[in-house]
Amino acid sequence: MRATVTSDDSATSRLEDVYVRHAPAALRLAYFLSGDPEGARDLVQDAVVQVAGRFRYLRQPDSFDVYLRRTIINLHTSQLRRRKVERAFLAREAALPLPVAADESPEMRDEMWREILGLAPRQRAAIVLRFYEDLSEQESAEILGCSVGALNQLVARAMSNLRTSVEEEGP
Amino acid sequence: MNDLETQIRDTLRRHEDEAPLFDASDVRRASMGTRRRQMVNLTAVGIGTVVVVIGLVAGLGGILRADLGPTVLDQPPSVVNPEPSVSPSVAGEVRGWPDLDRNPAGTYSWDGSACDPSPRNSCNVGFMHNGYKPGSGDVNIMFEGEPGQLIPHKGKASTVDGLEGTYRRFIGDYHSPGNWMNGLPIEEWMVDIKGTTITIHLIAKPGAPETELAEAHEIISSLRAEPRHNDLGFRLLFTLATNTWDSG
Repeated sequence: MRATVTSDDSATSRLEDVYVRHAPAALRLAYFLSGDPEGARDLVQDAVVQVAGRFRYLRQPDSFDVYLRRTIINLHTSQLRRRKVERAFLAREAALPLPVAADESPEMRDEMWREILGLAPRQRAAIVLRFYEDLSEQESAEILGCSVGALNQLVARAMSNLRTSVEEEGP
Repeated sequence: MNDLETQIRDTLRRHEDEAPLFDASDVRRASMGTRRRQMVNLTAVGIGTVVVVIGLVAGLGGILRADLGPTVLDQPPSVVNPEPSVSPSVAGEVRGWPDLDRNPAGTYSWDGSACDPSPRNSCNVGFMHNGYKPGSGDVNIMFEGEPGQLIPHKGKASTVDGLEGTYRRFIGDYHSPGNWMNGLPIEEWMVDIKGTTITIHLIAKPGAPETELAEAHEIISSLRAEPRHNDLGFRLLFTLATNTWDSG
């Protein structure tokens, strides 16, 4: 029994170490993806549980960071997909137009911030990984689970969308 | 660094303080959640092992009698059947693109928008690998196609199931340093369907077992197009014979 307890404690401690080391950066990434502090916290929780629960990272502990970030991005994309379906269903049921996100908080008055939050999830993720986290093309592509070519395409389209949006808004 | 890039960097830095701060109580929640998840995984592995053992015991005699050898690929496998060949009963069971986690065996589909729900979608690459095989992801399959865009084929002409497609084998050399496919053997099928060029890549890591390659070829051989009211005008259906594939 004692051995079991020690083993559990050790596993918990290892997870805590990993969590403490990676949580701050993970929370920032999740926030940039979701634009919602509470949503970001839940996203990171879910991602940690998913990654740590799969044992995969135990085989490659150094890759935990990559797995965690990839999982955050994928979970966020999945959530959006689910919400889109739910919203479409509710709108159909109520014969009402799709709700438009509120745009009144002070931070949403920042035009570029608003445009970044309006990008497609993977485009936004690519922008954050390349320009905020300053990861290399290879590292960013690995996290997004795509080729470097596809990553560059994501970044280029995100930049193009941002440029177009900003120009349309005008000075 | 151009102005826009600078603007993006400045904006993200300006908003980083709004991200939630690390809370020590989250560790406890994560720890409990992880244990629950690991228990679920262990249970699933246990059940899976029992099923495999039963299957092995039941099928061992038959396999030995059949004297089956590994599949040898002398010619490119068929690519896409142009006619819909899915019966209504089967069509009802068609899933979308494989999920990030383990997916059950069955019929799946790709319609060019599998990995991004946004209207500003730019992600039309479908990626999956056999991540639940020993070695985790030795064999990868990617589908690509830009709706309404035909691009030049690079392989040798090959008529496949009534469609003019092409096939080639090459070593990945994508002129972008660090591209994960560089240096890996790649098989490529290209076929034009309804004004869109579909490119399918099969990328195997060195030492990938023949049985896994054969399974990947089976998946590609199972491809068939089904008319659809979407950007492509169709979707591709394919069959996963095992539950070892995921898109994560």
